[in-house]
Amino acid sequence: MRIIRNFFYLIGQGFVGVFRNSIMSTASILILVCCMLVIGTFTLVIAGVNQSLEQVKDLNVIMAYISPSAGDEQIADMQKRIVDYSEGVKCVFVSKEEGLEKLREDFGDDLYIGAYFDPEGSDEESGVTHTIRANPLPDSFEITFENDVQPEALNNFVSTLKIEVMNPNGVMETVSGITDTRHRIGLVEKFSNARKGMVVLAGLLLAVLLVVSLFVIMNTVRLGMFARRDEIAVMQYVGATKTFVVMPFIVEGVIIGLVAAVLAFIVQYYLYTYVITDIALSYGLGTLPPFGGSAKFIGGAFLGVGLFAGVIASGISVKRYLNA
Amino acid sequence: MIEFQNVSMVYPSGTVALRNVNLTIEDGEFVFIVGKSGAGKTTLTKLLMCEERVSGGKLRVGNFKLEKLPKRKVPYLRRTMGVVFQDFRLFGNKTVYENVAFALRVIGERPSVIKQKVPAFLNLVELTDKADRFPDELSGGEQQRVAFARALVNNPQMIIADEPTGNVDPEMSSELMDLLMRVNRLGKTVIVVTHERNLVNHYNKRVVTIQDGEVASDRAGGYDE
Ligand SMILES: Nc1ncnc2c1ncn2[C@@H]1O[C@H](COP(=O)(O)OP(=O)(O)OP(=O)(O)O)[C@@H](O)[C@H]1O
Ligand SMILES: [Mg+2]
Repeated sequence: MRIIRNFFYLIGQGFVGVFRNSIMSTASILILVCCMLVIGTFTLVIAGVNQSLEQVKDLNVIMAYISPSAGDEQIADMQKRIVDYSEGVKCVFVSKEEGLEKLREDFGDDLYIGAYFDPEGSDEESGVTHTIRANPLPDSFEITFENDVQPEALNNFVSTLKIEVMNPNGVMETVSGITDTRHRIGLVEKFSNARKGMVVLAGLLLAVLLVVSLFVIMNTVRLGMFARRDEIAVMQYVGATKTFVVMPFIVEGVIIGLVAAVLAFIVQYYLYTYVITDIALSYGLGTLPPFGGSAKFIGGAFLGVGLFAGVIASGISVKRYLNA
Repeated sequence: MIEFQNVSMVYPSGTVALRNVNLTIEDGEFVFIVGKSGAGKTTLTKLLMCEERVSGGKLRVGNFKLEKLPKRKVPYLRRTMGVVFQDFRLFGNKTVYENVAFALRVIGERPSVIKQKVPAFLNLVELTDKADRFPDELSGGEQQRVAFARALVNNPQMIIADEPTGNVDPEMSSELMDLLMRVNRLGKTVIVVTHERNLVNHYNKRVVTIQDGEVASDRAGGYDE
């Protein structure tokens, strides 16, 4: 009973402290909110970029265009060599017809390629007549690979594949079997570099802001204790234990931390939903997932940071004051 | 019982405030501590409440051995004593009632007990009608009576008062002293540091004279220098 009574009394005293010291408390809360927003924003953006990275399924793909001089036999041979390159490499032959079909599926009406299909060479709707053209696409390999395969090396291997063909003079000669390759290997790197950069930047900012907020809260609590030094002395004369003397100040720190966490959470929601998502989109980072998915994590992190900063900072102040 | 055995006290600055003090105060005694300014009287009271530590010798207060009392136990020593100072040391932002109640809140007393005890002690010091006033709305003597009520409300075994009448007029001085006498008659040990020779001589109690940090005389009755 005594403990519970004291508990409520001390919590109440903590609130009294926050209000008595309202300017410094507000400053502490604001700086903590900034700190949390930096953490939150970076976490959300990084999580969002990660997610879009995973959604881009075609990243581990190399399209290799086969030299027109390669015959069926050479094609089969190259396909076998590619598959044998390493475990986890798959290679599918895509004929030029299939390639065109795929292109049409991918782009639909956005790309007019009807002329390549329509034997009459006319487009009913627009009334425009086209000549039938030869399919400009080469045969190709669609090479997919697992994450543990080194993309550059594989790409190198594929693009330097050689085949033996008969030249017009009836002499066998060795030529490139692959004319060109297309891949998005660089894109992956770009993404993960951006991500690394963000993590480093977030870490630095976070460290700086955390130190600053610790100092501000420490100062707030210290000023509070200083303003109440006579009161503290009297408390000690009438037999208040150390816990009883310091708890209101610790509670003050905790309240500052909690209020900051709640405020930051609300601000983060609006900031993310209405500002950051748009910015990310315009910087080509893709559509970030909605806030709801990360809400629990963000909320937890904010509470954690708030409590940590509040307890540590006021704890240090209190300890210093009482030992002085 | 309070027992000083060869107690000395040297401040970090090097000032020897007390040397070789031997003094025994029985439970229920009333003792005046007198002496010139700077003699070491306040230092003696600070040792009793463990605000300063003895530099040498042994000091017992009740069951507490102060020369080796751990810091965390100091609050429990203080709960056995009520302390009163020349400058009252009330909470300026709390009412008279709350100032007295505070001593009970600190030890986690039940609200029902607080509600019953605080008015009783305000009545004892005749301040019932000023319960809702703030300290700066009271005279010096009234403020000191609030401090007395706060010192007494915990039912301590002893009262230590360092120049309690230093800031009040002579009439109020004897009223406060009468109050301390009444408290003493309730069986509590009372230790009063004072400069007021006529008061001391009026009461005919034990008088300990401190001089240059030493006990210069210790006898019943008045004092002269
Ligand atoms: N905190 C301190 N640090 C250093 N020296 C101190 C301290 N407090 C007191 N002293 C010195 O110790 C000696 C005794 O001081 P003390 O306060 O006990 O005297 P006192 O008898 O209470 O005097 P007064 O009647 O003026 O109150 C004095 O020389 C004083 O200067
Ligand atoms: Mg003194």
